[in-house]
Amino acid sequence: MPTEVILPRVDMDMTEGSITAWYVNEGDSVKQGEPLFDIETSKATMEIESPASGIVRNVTASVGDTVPVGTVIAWIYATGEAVREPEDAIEAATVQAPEVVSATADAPAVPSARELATASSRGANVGTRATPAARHLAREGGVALAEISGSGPLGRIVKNDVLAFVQRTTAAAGRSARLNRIWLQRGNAATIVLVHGFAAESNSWRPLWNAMRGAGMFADVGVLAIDLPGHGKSPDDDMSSLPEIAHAIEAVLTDEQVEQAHLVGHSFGGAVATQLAASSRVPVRSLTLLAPAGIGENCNWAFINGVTRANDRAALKAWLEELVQDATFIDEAFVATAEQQLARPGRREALERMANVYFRDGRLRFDITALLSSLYVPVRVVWGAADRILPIAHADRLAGTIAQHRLAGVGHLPQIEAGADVARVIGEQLR
Amino acid sequence: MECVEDKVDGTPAILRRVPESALRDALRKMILVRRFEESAEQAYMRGLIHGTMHLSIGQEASAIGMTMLLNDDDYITSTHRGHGHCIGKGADPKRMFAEFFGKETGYCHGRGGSMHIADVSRGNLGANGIVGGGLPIAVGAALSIKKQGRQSVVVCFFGDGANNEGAFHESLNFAAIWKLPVVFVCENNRYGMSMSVERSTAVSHVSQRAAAYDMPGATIDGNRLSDVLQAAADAIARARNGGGPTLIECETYRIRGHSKSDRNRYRTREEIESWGARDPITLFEKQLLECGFIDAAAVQVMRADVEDEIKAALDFAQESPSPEVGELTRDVYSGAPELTRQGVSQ
Amino acid sequence: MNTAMSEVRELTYAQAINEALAIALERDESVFLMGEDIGVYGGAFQVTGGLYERFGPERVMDTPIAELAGAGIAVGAAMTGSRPVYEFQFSDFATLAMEQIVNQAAKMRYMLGGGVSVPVVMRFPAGSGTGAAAQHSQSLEAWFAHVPGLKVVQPSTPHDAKGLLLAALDDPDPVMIFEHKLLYKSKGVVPEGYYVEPLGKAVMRRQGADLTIVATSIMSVRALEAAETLAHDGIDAEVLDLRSIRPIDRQAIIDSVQKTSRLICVYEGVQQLGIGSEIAAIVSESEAFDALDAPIVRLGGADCPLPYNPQLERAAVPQVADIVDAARRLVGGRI
Repeated sequence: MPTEVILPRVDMDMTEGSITAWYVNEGDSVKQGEPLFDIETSKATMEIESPASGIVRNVTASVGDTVPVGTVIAWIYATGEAVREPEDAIEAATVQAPEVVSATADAPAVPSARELATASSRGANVGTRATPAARHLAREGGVALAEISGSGPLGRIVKNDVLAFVQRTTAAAGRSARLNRIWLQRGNAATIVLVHGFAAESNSWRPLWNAMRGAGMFADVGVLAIDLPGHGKSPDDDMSSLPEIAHAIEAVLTDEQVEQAHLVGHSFGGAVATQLAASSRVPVRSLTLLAPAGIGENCNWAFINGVTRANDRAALKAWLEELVQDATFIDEAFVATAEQQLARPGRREALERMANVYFRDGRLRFDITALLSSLYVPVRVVWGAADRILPIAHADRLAGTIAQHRLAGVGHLPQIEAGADVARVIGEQLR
Repeated sequence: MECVEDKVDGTPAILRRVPESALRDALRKMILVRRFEESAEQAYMRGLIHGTMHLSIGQEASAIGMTMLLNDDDYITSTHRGHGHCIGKGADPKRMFAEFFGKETGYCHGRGGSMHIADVSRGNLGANGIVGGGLPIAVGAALSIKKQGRQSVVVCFFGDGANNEGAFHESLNFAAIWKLPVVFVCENNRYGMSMSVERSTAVSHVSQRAAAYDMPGATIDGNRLSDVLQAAADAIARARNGGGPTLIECETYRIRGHSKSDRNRYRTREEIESWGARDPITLFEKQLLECGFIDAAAVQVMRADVEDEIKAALDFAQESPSPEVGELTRDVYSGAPELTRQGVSQ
Repeated sequence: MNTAMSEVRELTYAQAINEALAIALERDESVFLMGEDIGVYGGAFQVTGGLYERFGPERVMDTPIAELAGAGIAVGAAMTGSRPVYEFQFSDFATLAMEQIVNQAAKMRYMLGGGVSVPVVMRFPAGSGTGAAAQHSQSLEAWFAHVPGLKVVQPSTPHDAKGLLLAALDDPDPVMIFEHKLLYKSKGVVPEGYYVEPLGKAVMRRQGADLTIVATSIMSVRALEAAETLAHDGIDAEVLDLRSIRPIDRQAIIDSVQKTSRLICVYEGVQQLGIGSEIAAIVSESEAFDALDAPIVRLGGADCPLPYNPQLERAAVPQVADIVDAARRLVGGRI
């Protein structure tokens, strides 16, 4: 049984706390009593110690997050213990959050083993409740029960819940089997899959593709660029979660009979690519992220709004120049392409809706750090030091095992501003 | 009806009315029963026999006397102490031992054991493990006989313990009201398991109960074959001729305990020894010798022959195969598809 | 089921049994009836009326009140070439004959190594609803279904009452027939002449898609009524009349639950350790387990002796409203 790490109550009338620092990352091992994280109270910042020895997993609150008292924010697994779906952990905690009272302000308040045991005996830790029919259907459809919420008694997942979920994602996938895709090159074994970012589209990869051809490392390989929903020539389907978009991309890969994928994602596309790498049934061999969204917490909201609402070419150009360090990269062709995309009927509205879901008020509403730490494929991250859309400081949060290529004098478009370097990084991923 | 021993030339009349060969055969059968029981006891004490057994040593005259006049169309029902009845009705010691050893060649293919020996095709409807269990069945068989217009009879054996069971009373009443061809034979060996018949039974003779059911009843010396034979002949003739049922009480004694786990705490050594002095085989052998129906040499030959038969039977049983575990649920139903252990059709 | 060309006519359940007995007595000399008051009186539930007059006292035999020997005589007669039908006046009185039914009839064939069969039929008027109270209202069929060597059936219609009885009389093994008292006056189409309904086979009374109701005896009738009401709610119930509880038609149950994914078992015997427990276990052990989209529901008799007061008596066993309510909650995802 893994040990819960909860946000403890350290003040008498405390109902929530915010995390101001983490001393460990996902996958680190800790000893009981070692510092895990800091929480800020009205009085002071408190260091919270680990309640057990083991490996930290399923961290669900980040620095800056405010979380109700008693919420499970991480789990400590004994070495060799099987990791469970994070949703189980949340369900376990919220159904019966153990009452935690600290005697003094110093003592870390951690639920006793007895309290945890009581919670489990009340059925809180029973795992995912699902009827046999629901389980069978989920198994057949390759769907994780943890992704589905149950409508039955005790939160039990019934067949209809699975069907509805599959229908939604299939519809999404079905719609997205219509996602527009461009084969820049057909190949034999592997395929490089390019996933663009917010408000871009597949043709924006062409400069990089030119650079890649120049590098001479991509003779045998396929290169496939896919338009996200609501972008390029894809339909304006609203997809309100990364998994949905990832499913949609996966459907294209299946449709195109991609056997092995090397994913390359830029900005928001990087988040999509990471999500896809974590859940794809099409084998993914490497992941290359260019200034990915979802590692840090904030982004340039003004830029996003500005681009989607720009009324004339001059205004648009001005916003687009925010993307790069050297404005000469934003040539007429670049602006024209962007303008053309925005001119499609319904496109601006679709982009605005998407922005509201994922970047509202400049805060990223998703976090890919946990997904990244669950990957076993080579991951490289390329970031321009002068990125004004997603600051390179985000990269400081990356685990040390992920290779970072920090490019001086480069903005948010390393694939254009430093095409040759990016091509080389991608080429190295193929080996 | 009182049993009167009418003698002609000092010989009980019945012995003159029955062929000599039948009498010699009766003696042989009694010896066979005795040796069979003793051998079974030996085998048991050597750990060759599963469960327990109920020996009828000392009750041979009752068993043989009541069955020697029957043929294969007649039926018997027997008790848990029924080895003698079965041999009397023609059972083969080979197949009896095989059954005790749980072998496939036993009368019940190893499924029944000592208490359920039967050979329905030859009229043995089976020993029964329930005290009083055989009485209603015997009456049912008698009902079939009557319906089928046959001259057959049913001899229904039970002990003094059964005579207080509801089944005894219900069965005698049924047999009487429907005038069925059944001879009820109570082998009163004085004890149920440990309870003496004096303590268990309201009447001093079981045969008194015949009056309650308006049928003839008689108490006889169950250790004298000639007495048993006389009573049997009368009752069987009455039944065959449509005269209805009779209740015969054979007073006898079991030399051994109730079963192999009996510690004989409920009776005295003196009692056991005094009955031992009235061994029915000794008595009958003596009678046949005195009447000139057999000589000592022939008896010796007879005994040796019985030994051979017993030995051959034991060998047969030991060499026989055990049942296959896969056939566990065979014969639960007739002609049904094979069921699994859980009763699921395959 | 094979019928000669015959006019469509309705008989009561009791008349159907009577007709079956008459046909059997006519066809086979070895068949005869035994029971208390079955002769001139015509039987406590008037099932054997007229048979005594037609076939005489040798074929229709009144017995004294002596169930143990009565049943045992039937066993002994069956072992020796006869085919008796023993009628218990109330199923509750089977308890007096348990020795001969369970220790003798059920076990003879097996204990004796297959050398004999016991082709006896025993009939039991069973069930509650007549105000006969605790000792005259029980549903004990599950006890008998628990005994290897016996066969146990519960016809729910006049058609089946005749067909199953005729099949039982052809069966070489002991067959226990439990007839619900409240069904004796129920009417249904009964073909003329000889026909059999096979033992061990359930019958689908109503096809449906939303849930399966497996029912026995009078509960089959109530389940059909409930299905009519449920249809108005847009709930399509499938009703499987088990008919035979030893042997049980497992495949019919499994197939139905695989189709509908929900199961209610309805039976009058006490709920605990009753036939519904077996049905639920069968499903849980089978491929139908993966089709279940909700827990299995058992509706059985209450955990008390049958009471005398009529409201209590009704409340002690499942009624149509109980079946409707359970089905609504089950299909509505509230169970």
